[in-house]
Amino acid sequence: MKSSAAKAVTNFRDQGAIETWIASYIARVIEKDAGELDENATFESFGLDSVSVVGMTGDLGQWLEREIDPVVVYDHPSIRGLAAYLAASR
Amino acid sequence: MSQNALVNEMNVLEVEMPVADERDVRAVEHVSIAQLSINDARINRGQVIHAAAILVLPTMGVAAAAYLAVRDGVSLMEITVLAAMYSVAWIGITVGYHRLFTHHAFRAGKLVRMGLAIAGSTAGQGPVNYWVTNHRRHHHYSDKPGDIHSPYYRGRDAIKGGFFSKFFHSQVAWTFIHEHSNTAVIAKDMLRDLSIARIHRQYFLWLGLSFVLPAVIGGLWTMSPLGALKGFLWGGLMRLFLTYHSTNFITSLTHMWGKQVYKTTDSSRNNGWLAVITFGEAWHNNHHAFPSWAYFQHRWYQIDLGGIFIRTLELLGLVYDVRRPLQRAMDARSLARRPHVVSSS
Repeated sequence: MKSSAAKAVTNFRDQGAIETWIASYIARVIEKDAGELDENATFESFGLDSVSVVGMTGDLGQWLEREIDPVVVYDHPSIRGLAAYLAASR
Repeated sequence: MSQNALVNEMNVLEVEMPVADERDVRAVEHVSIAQLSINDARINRGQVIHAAAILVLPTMGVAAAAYLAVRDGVSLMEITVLAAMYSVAWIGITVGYHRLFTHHAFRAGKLVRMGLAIAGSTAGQGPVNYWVTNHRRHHHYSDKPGDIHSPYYRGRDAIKGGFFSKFFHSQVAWTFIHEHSNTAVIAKDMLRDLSIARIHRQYFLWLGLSFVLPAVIGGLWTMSPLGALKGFLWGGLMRLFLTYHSTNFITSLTHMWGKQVYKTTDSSRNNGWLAVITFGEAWHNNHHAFPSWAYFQHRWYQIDLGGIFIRTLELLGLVYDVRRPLQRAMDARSLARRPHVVSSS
């Protein structure tokens, strides 16, 4: 029982959770409902500029407790793409 | 089973079974938009290249234009493209970037907003969100540590030295070294307007067109390649030289030189002769006292071309909710004695 609880806490920052975090973050910035955001659309298409995307990776890194080089966003510029990359590269 | 035990049992179950919704709620709770200052190698490199280009290239263009002017004289074409492109850039900066986007001093429909964002882009002072975040930060810290272009501070440090050190930093050097601010923190409103976000990304396109256009006009006006070159030099590079330095006179001189008529927490000043060439911006003490007013003209003799432009758009029905100066507010902040108070001397 204890080990499964611990596992649940670890899974807390898996791809799905990171996707949710990014979608909620963007939703709060542009004042939309997180559910309305297309996870495969580019950050640019939501209106985000380069400074705000770099700021987002900084805030995301704080939450994930790891350094995220903002350059990865140029290669993975969508909610799903960035979350998948970060979950895989842990 | 007691009720507490049941609650405990349920809590354990929840931890054991992190269904998607439960997990998502917890991720959402951790969202915080916190990073104000952005320090990114790519963005900083772009800043230095841009700052060097808008300082050096227009200066070279002025030298070339001066050489040709001495050789051939100056015709009406050069004066016309210079005056027209100078006005477009300055209207874009003071009416668009500054009064509309930074301070919401009036409201406008989509096409007027887009037009003003495009006109502002031609001034070569960066994309619209960059300008807005810089300027909101300037008002927040005005002439205090953290102000990005004060004559008195370089970042957090007081500038030692005389007039030249202070002038050089606030006129030129700040563009190379200042900190970037996160649009998501201090200018969320800019990100929500997708038509403006697109113009922000197309900045170099609009800036580039502001050089092509006067070259085309010069070529067609004179039907010669030399005319196209002169149009490019006068309407493009010399125009950018003049808008660059006149705009930065606002960041430098109007915080050092001129008259203070209102009590403000900064060193902003009014400067009548600069006000004419800066489309009203140099009534800078007026502006810092009441940043969200659309008109920088508070007295009948204070010429504010940007304000006249807004009034014209308003009369044409193109802008609305224009924030006008309020006499009572001006009187309350004024440093001058009231007329009815008799001096004791």
